[in-house]
Amino acid sequence: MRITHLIYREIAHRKLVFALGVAAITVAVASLVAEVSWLRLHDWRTDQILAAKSAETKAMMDRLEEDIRKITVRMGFNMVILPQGQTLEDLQSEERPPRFMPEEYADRLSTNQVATINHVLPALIQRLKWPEQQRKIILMGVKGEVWIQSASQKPILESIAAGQVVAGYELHQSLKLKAGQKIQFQGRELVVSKLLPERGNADDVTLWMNLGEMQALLDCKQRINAILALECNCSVDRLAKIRQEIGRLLPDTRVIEFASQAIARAEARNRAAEQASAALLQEREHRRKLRSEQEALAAILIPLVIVAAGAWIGLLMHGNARERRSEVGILRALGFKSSQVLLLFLGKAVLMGLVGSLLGYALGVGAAWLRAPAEPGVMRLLADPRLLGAVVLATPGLAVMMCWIPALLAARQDPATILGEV
Amino acid sequence: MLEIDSIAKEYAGPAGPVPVLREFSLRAGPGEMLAIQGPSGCGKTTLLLAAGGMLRPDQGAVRIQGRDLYAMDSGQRAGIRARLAGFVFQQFHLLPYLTVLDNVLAAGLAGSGAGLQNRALELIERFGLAHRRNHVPAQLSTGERQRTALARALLNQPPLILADEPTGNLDSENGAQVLEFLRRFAADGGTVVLATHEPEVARYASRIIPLKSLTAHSVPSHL
Repeated sequence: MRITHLIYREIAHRKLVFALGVAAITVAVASLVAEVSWLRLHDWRTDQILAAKSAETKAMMDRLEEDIRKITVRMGFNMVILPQGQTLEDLQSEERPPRFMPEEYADRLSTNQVATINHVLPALIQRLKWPEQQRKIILMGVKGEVWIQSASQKPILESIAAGQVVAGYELHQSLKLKAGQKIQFQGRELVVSKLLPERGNADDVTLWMNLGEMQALLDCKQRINAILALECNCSVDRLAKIRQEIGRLLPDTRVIEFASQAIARAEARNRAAEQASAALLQEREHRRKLRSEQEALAAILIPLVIVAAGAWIGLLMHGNARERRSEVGILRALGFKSSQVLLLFLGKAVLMGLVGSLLGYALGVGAAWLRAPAEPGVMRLLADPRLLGAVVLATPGLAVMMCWIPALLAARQDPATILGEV
Repeated sequence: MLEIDSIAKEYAGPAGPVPVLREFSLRAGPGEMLAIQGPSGCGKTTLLLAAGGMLRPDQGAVRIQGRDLYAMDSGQRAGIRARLAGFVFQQFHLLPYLTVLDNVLAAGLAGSGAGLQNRALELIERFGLAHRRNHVPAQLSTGERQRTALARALLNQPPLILADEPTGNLDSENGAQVLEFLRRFAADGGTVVLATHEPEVARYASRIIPLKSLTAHSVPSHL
């Protein structure tokens, strides 16, 4: 016979004590395992949600990207090419000395086809005094378009023949100009060929004339100070690259995009991306917060359950030791050493821990499984052999700790006293 | 075999210490069956517990086969008990959850020996318990319980048996049977120290040592 046989027989004899101890351990282990499993399930669900949201966001952004690309290709965007160091405001200022670039740049731009630019318009713009009328105007010399992408396209700006001018709204209204009327400008006689409707911008105080005529008037032959590149049909994403290419093609110039809806759309797209990213972060934060709350609750509850279970087992074993006083006395009379008596009690605690840990693990995993979504792989996620191993190893150790004092007291009992009592 | 030299023992009582044994000595050799006879409370059980190494006397020495029990630690004394002394009690003191066979074999867990299973079966057979070997104590008669306790005491083949009122709970027939077993054990070279208050029981002994309440008789050392 082995000492384990003695342990088994005693357990079979006092089933209730063993069952109550196992029940306490089962509850404690089940709480722990369920909590760990729930947290694992939470992490797994979080990964799933975030992955789904990421994929959804990516798909949405891809769709948006494609839409923007299509929209901006059709929509086009506008650029103005200025001499280096010049701003758009400088063009309408009298105070800044005018800067120029060769008129040939417009041809170079159109012939090199940097981008699918629909309209290339060289211009000379200057704010000056109209001496005959004693007022300041913006004089703009235009050549018409040097490049049109497609023959089917209608030119944005008609060329103005020498000797003719086009008057902006405010000018022709205030000066009571009529189409076909002859006017004097810096001693030249010119004919008003067209009156423009109100635009609500600087165009209303602008007088357009033939580029060559204006160059002659201002003594800047073959020079211009602006090229308008309108309706560039390419994805807005390529803007920076196009700007670089133009910079290389037209030295000492700068490129400014303006009045471009595509830019606004691109910004909207970026904002949408930022919002999607923020939503993802918010979801992640929400899930993290949920986990923290669950952890905080577990940090209080689980130790409480474990301590309560430990105290319960300690009490049970104390009662068991008292109940077995005569048995201890007999065994000591038979020659059992204290260590052997201790082993009887601790062996029982180990068995209690083993059975309780296995039952508790199964119960904890089962409880977590009930809360888990019915998806493949969930059981594999919950049934973690490492957790099982840790629980099965640690629980008997903890049970031994809880039983140690009652077992030690039992083992150290004076057999003579016990046998004298019974 | 067993030497008890001038031991004394007193217990704490509500009105002060109560002396139970005073300057008590005895020697028991192989083949002897000694009966310690006296009324209840005179210290017979105390004497047997002290002789078995389970109750340290206030003074004096106890030796089994020349080894001073109380010069040893409790583990060593437990070892001596397991190998050299068998106990038989009035209340039998069987483990309630073990069968007859397991109760007998339980003594083997304390000692170390080969062939314990066979020896246990032999003892069970010898004590007429073969048909009861798989029964638990609650299913046995009092005589069967005491015979089981006797078989358990003999499992490790100890040279000394300490029996405390072994027939106290038995009818005369079963009592006689147990005493006869003890006498045979002594006749085979063993030593039996038997505590009893019954003169009829004491008559089975080769020597009777009377023990009076509160004062122990000094027994001549040559005995």
